Amino acid sequence: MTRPNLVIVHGAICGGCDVALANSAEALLKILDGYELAFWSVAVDSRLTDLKSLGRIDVAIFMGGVRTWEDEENARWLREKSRVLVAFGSCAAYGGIPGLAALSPPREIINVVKATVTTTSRGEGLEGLPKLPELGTYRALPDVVSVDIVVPGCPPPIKVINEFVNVLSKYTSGERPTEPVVVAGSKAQCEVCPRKPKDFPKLQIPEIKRVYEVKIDENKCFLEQGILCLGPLTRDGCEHSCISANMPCTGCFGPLPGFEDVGLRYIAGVLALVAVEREKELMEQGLAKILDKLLDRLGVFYRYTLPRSRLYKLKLGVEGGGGAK
Amino acid sequence: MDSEEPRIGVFVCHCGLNIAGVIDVKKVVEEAAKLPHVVHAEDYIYMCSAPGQELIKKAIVEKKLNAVVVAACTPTMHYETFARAVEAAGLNRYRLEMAAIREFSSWVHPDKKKATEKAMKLVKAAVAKVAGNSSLDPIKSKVVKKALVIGGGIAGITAALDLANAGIPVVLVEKSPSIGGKMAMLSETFPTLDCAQCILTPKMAEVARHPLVRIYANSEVVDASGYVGNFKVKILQRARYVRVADCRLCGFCERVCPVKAPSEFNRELSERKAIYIPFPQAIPSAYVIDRANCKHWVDGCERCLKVCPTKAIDFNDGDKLVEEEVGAIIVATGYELFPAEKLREYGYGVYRDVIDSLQFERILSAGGPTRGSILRPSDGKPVKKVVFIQCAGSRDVNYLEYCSKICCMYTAKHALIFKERVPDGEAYVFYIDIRAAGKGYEEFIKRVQEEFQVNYIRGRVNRVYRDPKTGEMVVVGFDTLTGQVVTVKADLVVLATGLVPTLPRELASKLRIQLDKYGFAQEVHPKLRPVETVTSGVFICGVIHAPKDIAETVAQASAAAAKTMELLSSEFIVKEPLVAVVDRDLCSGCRVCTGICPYGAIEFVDGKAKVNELLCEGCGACVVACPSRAIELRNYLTKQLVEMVRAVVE
Amino acid sequence: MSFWEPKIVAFLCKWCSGAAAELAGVSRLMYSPNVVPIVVPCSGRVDPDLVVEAFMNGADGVVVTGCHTPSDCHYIAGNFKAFKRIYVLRKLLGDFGIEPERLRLEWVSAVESQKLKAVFDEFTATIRKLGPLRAGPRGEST
Repeated sequence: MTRPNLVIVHGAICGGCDVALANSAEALLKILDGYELAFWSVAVDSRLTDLKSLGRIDVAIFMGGVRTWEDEENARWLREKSRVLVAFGSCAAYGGIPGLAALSPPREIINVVKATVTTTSRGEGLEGLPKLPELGTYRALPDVVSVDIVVPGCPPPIKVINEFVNVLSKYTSGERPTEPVVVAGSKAQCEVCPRKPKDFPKLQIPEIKRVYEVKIDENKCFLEQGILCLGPLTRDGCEHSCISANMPCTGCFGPLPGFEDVGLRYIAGVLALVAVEREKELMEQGLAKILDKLLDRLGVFYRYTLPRSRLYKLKLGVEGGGGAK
Repeated sequence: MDSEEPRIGVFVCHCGLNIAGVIDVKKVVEEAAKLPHVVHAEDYIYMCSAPGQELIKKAIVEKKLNAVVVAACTPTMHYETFARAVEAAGLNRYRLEMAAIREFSSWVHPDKKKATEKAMKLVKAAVAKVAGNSSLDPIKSKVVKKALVIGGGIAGITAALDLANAGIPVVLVEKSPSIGGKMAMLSETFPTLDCAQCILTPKMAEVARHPLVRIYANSEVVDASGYVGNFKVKILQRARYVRVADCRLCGFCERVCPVKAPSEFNRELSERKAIYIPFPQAIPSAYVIDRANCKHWVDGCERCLKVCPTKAIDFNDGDKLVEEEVGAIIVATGYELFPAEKLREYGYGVYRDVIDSLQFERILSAGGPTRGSILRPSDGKPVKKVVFIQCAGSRDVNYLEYCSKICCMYTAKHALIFKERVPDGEAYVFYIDIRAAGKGYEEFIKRVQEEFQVNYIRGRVNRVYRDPKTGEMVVVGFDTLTGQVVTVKADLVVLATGLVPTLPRELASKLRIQLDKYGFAQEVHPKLRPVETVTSGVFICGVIHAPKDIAETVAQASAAAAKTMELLSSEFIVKEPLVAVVDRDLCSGCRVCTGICPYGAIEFVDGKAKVNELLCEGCGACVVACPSRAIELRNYLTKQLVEMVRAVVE
Repeated sequence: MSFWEPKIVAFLCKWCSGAAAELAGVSRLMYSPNVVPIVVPCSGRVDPDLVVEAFMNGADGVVVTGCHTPSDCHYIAGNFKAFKRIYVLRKLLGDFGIEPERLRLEWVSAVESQKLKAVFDEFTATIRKLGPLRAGPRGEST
């Protein structure tokens, strides 16, 4: 009786998800126990041709976003061949940090890189070197193919990887999940945040402060100190490594079920709450000045989720590039 | 939306030619009939007429409609008309929507084709909305027919009497040992120059003996919770150590008491004993022991107890926490004077002969520390020359930015009374402007200037100091009308300082009263709702709202009482049910909603948000703000709005 | 063949700008039929998601009207919430390459029917100049 096989394929990665998986010890051992690891270029010496020679794939784990035509080809191929396709890590799930580059045309990105990299050799005339694959529109995996399991996190914490292995065991044979299973909570971080005050006082956000401007009180809610924390809109389930290190949540676990656009919800709620006690005193001018403190809207709202956001989809629709709704 | 399938009827009105003259009504009906869930569509010349309404009722019954759209004028015109019509046919009134194709289309767009197209969009949006409407019942809540008045000054006393005389039981809470407030300290009141005590004490007596008024003096409201019609308050009744019912005001205790302390009532111009009565006409009519200064707890002194003929003194008395349930709260906590020691150039607190306006009132008072003789505090010498400094710390970005309204008038009054009692005396008033806008006020000022020959100098005072050789107070100022420095030597300097509000911020936040940047309580709207606060059932009156004189205070107190009577006059409060509701399963406890709601209508129960139906006004700001979409606004659900937008744009 | 006409959604708050629209109707003030109103209880009820929904479904422009600051809002401060939301949303639209001018916020009191007409007409002209939001088969992006 052959064990089901499992492949781990990379899109546009940083390597962090590989490290996380390797670090997960127990989970990794369970995977290696239950599955035949047929492809993981970081751990096992193999080539893409070895992957493509596989007849059938039970579980395919895709890490990273879909940046090049090669990534896209691989993603589509994997979907066709695999029973269960997993988007592993925030890049695969939502686009991740490189998703912020989705707003720059690929040509512009190449030009910037060429202009800023100093090298004595441009590799011209050297034979046998592979050609760089062409950059396409940057996308998260679910925007290219349907995905069965989503494991968020940048990188996914050990707790979540363990949970992922449990989820996987339910689909070892036969059925695919009818809709994508997200290995994270479905409530916001605030539900379990250690900084949530026991007596639920009214939430007041006096102004906007950058993390370096304030000596952050370890026991107080970030928002109350003016620090823009994405906790209220981010799924729970992580190990709170950021919050316990006295840094606000930046949203790597992605938006709550039913929402794709973090920015729109953040504007609607948290930003609308800024300086509420002083609205009449500050008037539009004063309020605008406080809101102008937020310089990097895209970086704060969409650090991990830009390619899946509604506004991005609107932009694509406006340009006639398809995928409008 | 309730679980049944919507069965919508669309009724398009011609409104004579108002609509039909521009819009192709038949086409609108035709298109409406094609919309999802629409099972009936017709038009009629005047939908609001009796036959028009009959058509609607008939269709509801025959076609088993559970939702109705009337495309006609605006809801402002005829929502009520059609709501009653659908109710008569057995349909809940909240299953009705109107598309204002007259005001929003036929009357404003001359192009028939475009007007018709727009009308169809408006109808489509209304159909999309009504498909998501639920049947709702008005919200009812029982009302406790009792009122709390916080503050026993003239504002609180007036409100309490108005309410009690209307048959409403009142709980009156006063922080100091006696009611009466600042008005009891005044000598005369402007512009009539009535003796303040003479007009106040009858009211104090009336409120004391009124069977429907319960006075808690020496007490403070320490907690308040609940909502309109059902407030629960906790009152800390501080120990008096004297049984009120037994005290005969004989005063033997006072004579033997070995301890002296500054008299609050005389604004520290004289002393009182540790066992004292604030003033003779105090209500409750009894002595009180000032525990902080009394020696009983230091060395067991019991001299007063030994001489009291009725054994009214009780050292075992303790603070009590009393709970009361009331339907409405009136806040009338009044003011204090701006602390004049902050005005370093004027020497208040340094020189005993620089005093503030309330201290001057005490000097003028027949019952005051000098029995009405105008003597200066440092050595008791009769005052021959007095300088009044108006706007002391007011209209000044460094201290109080605002004008306290009454200081020009009370200074003029002070100057008048001084000149009356010291005809050969000299009075000077340094002013920036004269504010005398009330009835007879301008005439009063003129009289003081001309008849009583008080010297008004337009300019500010630079410095006040005492001449070490002569002992006189020297006031150095500038006369802007002559352009010269002016130096006045005087026996007494009176600072007309401004009024500052005294409502503690914790109590304000418990009552959910908004305070402005100076600490004055905020009314909902100065013209439309002048005595109401954002919290339903909590009213304000007197200086806690804004500086004002006694006449305005009394009028506003009666207004607050009237609003309270309106509220408490029915057994139930009935409210439109179009409020926000929280889905506990979706709520993550992030608290964003609590900060957004202007009415403080959202509280936390077992870790999840809960909207208080009675306080929610249905604005929907929380619905937009909730990051989890856990809150929705009844009959204005997010998904309804999404459908309306699609209907209008596609 | 039909030419492109701007599609504009207007969110009117019931108490101030909605009343102004009714007054405009009663006064027979003619204005651009391209603007279709949706009345909401308060400008604070307008969700940024809803604005984007309008753009995604074909709107070329969105205008939100509410009561004047600081004190006209029937619900105390809903207009301030609308201001903050729309202020940042406009910038966010710009970040995504969509002209911020396609979203406008105006304060219109219940008696300012003339102002409402002017806002609707001017905004329609602005959108006409900006062109259709989508580069579609008939749209000519300027």
